Amino acid sequence: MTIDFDAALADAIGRTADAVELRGTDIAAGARRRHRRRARARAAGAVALATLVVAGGVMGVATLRTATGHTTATPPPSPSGHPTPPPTLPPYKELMALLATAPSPETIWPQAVRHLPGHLPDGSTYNVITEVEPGVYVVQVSHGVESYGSVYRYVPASGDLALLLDARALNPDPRTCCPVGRARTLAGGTYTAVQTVRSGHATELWVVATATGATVDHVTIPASEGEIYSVDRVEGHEVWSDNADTPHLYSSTDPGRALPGSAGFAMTGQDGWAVATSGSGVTFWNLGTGQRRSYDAPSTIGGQPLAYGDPCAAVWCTATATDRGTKLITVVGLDGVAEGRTAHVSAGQLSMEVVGSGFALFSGADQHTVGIWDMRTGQVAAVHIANLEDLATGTGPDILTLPPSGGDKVLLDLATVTG
Amino acid sequence: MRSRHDDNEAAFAEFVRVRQLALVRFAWLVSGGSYATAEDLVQDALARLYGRWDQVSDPEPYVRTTIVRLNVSRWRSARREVLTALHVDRPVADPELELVESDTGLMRQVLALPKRQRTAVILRYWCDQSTEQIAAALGTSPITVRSNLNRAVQRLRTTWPAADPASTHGRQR
Repeated sequence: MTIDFDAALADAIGRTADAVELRGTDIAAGARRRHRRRARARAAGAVALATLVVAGGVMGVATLRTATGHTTATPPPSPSGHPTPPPTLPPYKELMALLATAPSPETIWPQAVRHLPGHLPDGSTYNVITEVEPGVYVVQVSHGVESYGSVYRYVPASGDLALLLDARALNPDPRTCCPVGRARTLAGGTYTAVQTVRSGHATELWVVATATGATVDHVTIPASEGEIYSVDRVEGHEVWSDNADTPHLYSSTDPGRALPGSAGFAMTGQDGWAVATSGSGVTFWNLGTGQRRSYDAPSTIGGQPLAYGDPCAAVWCTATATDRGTKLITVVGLDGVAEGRTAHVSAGQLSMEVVGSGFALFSGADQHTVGIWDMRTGQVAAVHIANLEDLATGTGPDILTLPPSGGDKVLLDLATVTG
Repeated sequence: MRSRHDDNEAAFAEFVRVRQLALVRFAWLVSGGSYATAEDLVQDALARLYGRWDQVSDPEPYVRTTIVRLNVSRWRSARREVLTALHVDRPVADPELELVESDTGLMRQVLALPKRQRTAVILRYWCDQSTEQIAAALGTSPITVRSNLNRAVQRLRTTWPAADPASTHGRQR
């Protein structure tokens, strides 16, 4: 009598699979949330993750210390000119205790809080994309969480509302019409762009002048079935995307070509930066400027491969891995703050994402209380939200939409906080 | 009157309700025995399905193929999740891992295989897929799949049958 290896192998796999049971997560709801995030993120491309924080209350203001233990509003600059040491993560309970006592943004950053009308002059609800000049906003009509509509230039003080992009007119295909993500501004607000998708799975980028609404560019990028890829329009009429596994260059006249030397790199969705990892670390390459930065960074944590890339903002890039249910995060500074430094933490129930230049949002198991942390000063404010969509980042770098108040749309201008 | 959107929502929810356990088990196997990764893979794959519900005629093969491709290119898939939602990732014990780790047998060796070899083994021995079907799922050639399977089986045979006492209770002939 012999034992059939194939049968034994199939049996072992089957027995093990049968032991796996669901753990109560609402998988359908999670998938819907991810779909919404992906749709938003495709056009946003400016959010990142960070890690750090040590809790402590100082003079009535919730403050997080830096890794060197400073609790003052301005950490001392390092000899290299980089002002902020790499972060460390405090115990979860300490962080939650800090969050419970943190004041509102209005209390500690009153100069940065703005109230806008809750609806556009035509009655539409809207999302703020960014502020392109003082008192002038690019906004997008919202039709619920997942649906993005026309894009306008909006001046609340005068009530002026000028249409910039109407995806229904640009792409009349009813099956694939309309933006697949939030609009975004380019070149410091000079241009505004949205992405649409055609039924042939091509991604199209429509670019108009923010001041006039005049169309200045239309770039078509072939995409694989079911995928919409990040697009970085860095300058001129060129678009970088990585729908062919490596960064390719597209324009209204160029159907796409691989960038020399880009094998192994992938776009980060942030200002033209591509990233590649190797056994010795991680290399960032700005395709627009040609600048390269290489850092010694781990490629795995706990045996799990790290994911570097999209979570890049002006300050931080991060990599995450999940090791038996514990989220591990490592940070790589991409610009002058903590550049080249890394730290990894066991984040547990903590969730965190970086917004703007040097701010992070974080929450614990109670996702309805969210901390806004100024990583440069250590100050923390807390907001209470009825649902996750009440707190939104714009695609511009420094605008955070807070929960509405008294029918007003409330914005936090992070640039004013740092200023 | 129900809209097309409502109908799609209901159909998607029903599909997930009926098939989520099978999908999580499949993802758990191809991911090498991590429940957190498996759930992550399934949610990612379902998020893609959700956005294309109207266009996918047979959702389960689509989701399984997506799981396989996400898993073999995990670095890239994680990179695409730009907006890291305020998502709670609760630290939990992995009872399945404990089960496997208490078993010195064949399955432990399977989960320790390199990712592509492990995926090929799962698709062949658990999903009864042909070499061509596995190649299509992995986005590679049948020759490469055969090579991966041969290497995996050679490796598993070196520790079998002594490695898995439980396997003697399996099918014999």
